[in-house]
Amino acid sequence: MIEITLAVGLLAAAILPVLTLTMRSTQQTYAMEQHIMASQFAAGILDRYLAMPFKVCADAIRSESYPQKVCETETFKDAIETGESFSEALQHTFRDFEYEVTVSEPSSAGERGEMFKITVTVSWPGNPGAPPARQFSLNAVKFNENP
Amino acid sequence: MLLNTSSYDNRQLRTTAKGGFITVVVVGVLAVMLLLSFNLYKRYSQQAKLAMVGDQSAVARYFLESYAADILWQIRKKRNIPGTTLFESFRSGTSVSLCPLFYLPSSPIRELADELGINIGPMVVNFATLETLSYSPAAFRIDAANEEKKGQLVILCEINYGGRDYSLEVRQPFKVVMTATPILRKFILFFDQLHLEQTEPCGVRDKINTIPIRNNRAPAQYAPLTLYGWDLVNRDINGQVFLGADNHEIRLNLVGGAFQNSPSESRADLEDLWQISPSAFDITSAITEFDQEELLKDSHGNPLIVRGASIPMTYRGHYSRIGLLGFSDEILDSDFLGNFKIENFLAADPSFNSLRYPDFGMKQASTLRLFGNRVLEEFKGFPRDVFGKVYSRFFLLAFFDAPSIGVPIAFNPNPAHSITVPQYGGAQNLPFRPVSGTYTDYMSRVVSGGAPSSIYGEKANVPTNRDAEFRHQLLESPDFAGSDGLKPCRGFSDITPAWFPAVKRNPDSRPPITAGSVLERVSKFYRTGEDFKKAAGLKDAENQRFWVDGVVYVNGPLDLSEGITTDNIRGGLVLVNGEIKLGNVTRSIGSNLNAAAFAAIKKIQLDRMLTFVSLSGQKIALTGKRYYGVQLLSFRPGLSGPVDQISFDDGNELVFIGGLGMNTPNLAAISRHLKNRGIFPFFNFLPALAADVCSYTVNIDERIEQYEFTVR
Repeated sequence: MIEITLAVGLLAAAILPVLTLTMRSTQQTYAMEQHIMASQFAAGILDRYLAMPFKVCADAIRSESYPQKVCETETFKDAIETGESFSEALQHTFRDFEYEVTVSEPSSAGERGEMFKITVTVSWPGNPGAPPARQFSLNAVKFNENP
Repeated sequence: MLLNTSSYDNRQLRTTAKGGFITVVVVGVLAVMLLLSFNLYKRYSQQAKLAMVGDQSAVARYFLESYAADILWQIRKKRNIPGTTLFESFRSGTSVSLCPLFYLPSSPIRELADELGINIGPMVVNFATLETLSYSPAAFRIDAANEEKKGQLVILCEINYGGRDYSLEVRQPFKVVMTATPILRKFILFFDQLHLEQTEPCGVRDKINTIPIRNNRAPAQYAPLTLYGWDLVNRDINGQVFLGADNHEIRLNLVGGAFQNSPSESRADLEDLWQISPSAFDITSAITEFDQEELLKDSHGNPLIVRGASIPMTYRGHYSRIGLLGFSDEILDSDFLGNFKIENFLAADPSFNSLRYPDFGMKQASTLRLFGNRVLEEFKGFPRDVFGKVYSRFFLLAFFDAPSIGVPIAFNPNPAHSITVPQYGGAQNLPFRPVSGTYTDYMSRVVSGGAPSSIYGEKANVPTNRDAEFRHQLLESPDFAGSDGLKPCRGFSDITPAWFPAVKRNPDSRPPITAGSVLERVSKFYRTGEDFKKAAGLKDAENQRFWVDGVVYVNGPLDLSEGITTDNIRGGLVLVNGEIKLGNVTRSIGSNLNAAAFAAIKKIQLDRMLTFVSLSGQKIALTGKRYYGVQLLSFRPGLSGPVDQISFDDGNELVFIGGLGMNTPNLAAISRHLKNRGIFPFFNFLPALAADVCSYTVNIDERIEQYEFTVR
């Protein structure tokens, strides 16, 4: 009898960290999914701006107001029209995501007008519905193609 | 009792055995749980590590791309600055492998590296796959190498981030091209099918000689295309002329020649006979220059002064007076030649009879005046080479002058012909006895008349072109000295069909890259003229500029009626698949033609020269009146008649400094578009176009041909 009690107690004690680890693993997988989606989205935004001509890129960034909800961007709206199940998955993933794009002018006066740094920051909450608490940033420098 | 004890022991044994089994099971389950926990933990930490590696790679990749873009930006900035090692390396043939760039990271790269904790590693830029650009053998013969080439810039850069080394190698194509058209840039006029405007030497099919002249003046509504120059010795900076096609003859009627009664007074306004050198005729070849001579007396007894010579004959007091007369209405007047008519001199000349009917043929002067206007007696014209079978047409009137008698030395087709002149009412006969030569050498004729001449053969025509010693000499394509290592392969007329191939216009497609043609040199493609204007910087209000920087292609008509007033210009060729409209090109020099303006125009360099080409051979309409440093080209193969390829919408006080090249300028129409006011219209060459070595520009493409990102 004591043995059974001890065994049950031991099992209960041992199963707790396993359950905790399992839960954390699930949470971690979810967080990793969010992180990867954020990094892919940031890379996509940055690639889009880097592909534009220099002046068009600067004007395009400055004409937008940030932060913006990912789901409310025009490109996102175009993407979700491609397929039902795909759009549901996208909307579910990005429902709480926000992003911001900033432009930083160079410190050297001779370089202003010839280059600027683009920073894309994507923010998302740790838990659904909570305010954005996690961030991922990518930076690149855009140069004038016709100096 | 014993039985009871054994039962109890057996029960104890079974209980003990069952208790051990649970322990084993529990230990087993615990072991499995431990393993599970361990794997979960490992998975958890690997997942985090994987995410971190992925993030680092992304950060490193974007940094490396910015690093490579910074290198490329610095190369683009310095590639066309003369005197730098970078400039020279792009222009040093195809054997250079290293691109010498003194690289210092720009401030955003340095700051970003500090922010992210990145160590910037070494970089190197090399040239790869260098090869010369080709030239169509139908157009050019390569005499020497030039610097036109294409290849790849290979940029390799490295960084260290987060304990790992990352490198990026990108290959970007580039081209080195001339900023002006080879060979054609040396010409102020290049009309390679002008013969289509003169399908017969005289009459209504002669659309080159269409300006009616009277008293050496043209009516106000007609303006000839008169070429000026910069120098009276250096002929190259005055530009060359080609009037084609190569195997077709062009005849330009010279103007005037008769002076007022007083030798010191000239009614010459458009007088051209100063262009004729005595070397044109055997009988005057010993004379250095024609002088003003009294040919005969007009009907009022006043001397008719013409440019000519008096050649003593065998007998004392006998002279053969040679006079050169141009096309002008009054030579048909009854009193112009005194007791004689022009028919007395030329009636038997078949060229005269072709010109005579219709009678406007005697007063029509050329719309092209290739050596300027003579304003001073000692002026011999702005020297320039005139290529093609181009001949000056005028009248040579010869008069046999003896004491108390004088008669025309009239044209006679008989080579053995001679004359004797009755004197003193027939009491004496004076023989026409030259010191040397025959009657034929001295007789009146239409020089370069156009009718076949068995008497004179080749000598019937006087080439318009004169060499440095003012001897008339025919110049054809084999005589061209060459430009940029190139010479015409066959004739000048063969160049443009191969170099500017016709392109079918398709709104969505780029032109085919025809090897050996100008299309192989195109670096940028624009769908519309508006796209081009925006890219060139014309629409940038803060920093207006006009940067062509190579050879660009516009897939549609181009309307530049607003003109180009900025001097922030990078030269090149604009190939337009359609019509072109061009307003003033003043380059901040302004419209007033003063000494300062001319000095500024003369300083315009070849790398700022603008060439507009209508690839389809369509019209180029000039809507302004000031054009400094512009070459306009419009060619269409397979023409059978003249077409409108240029128009001057505001021909009032026009100044054009550059070059014109087309099949048929439609000279008769141009002379009516232009307005004749003093020195206007003023056509001159841009001296920089005569440079021995063309300028080159480097175009680095924006697309990447190869991209290799490596993590070590």
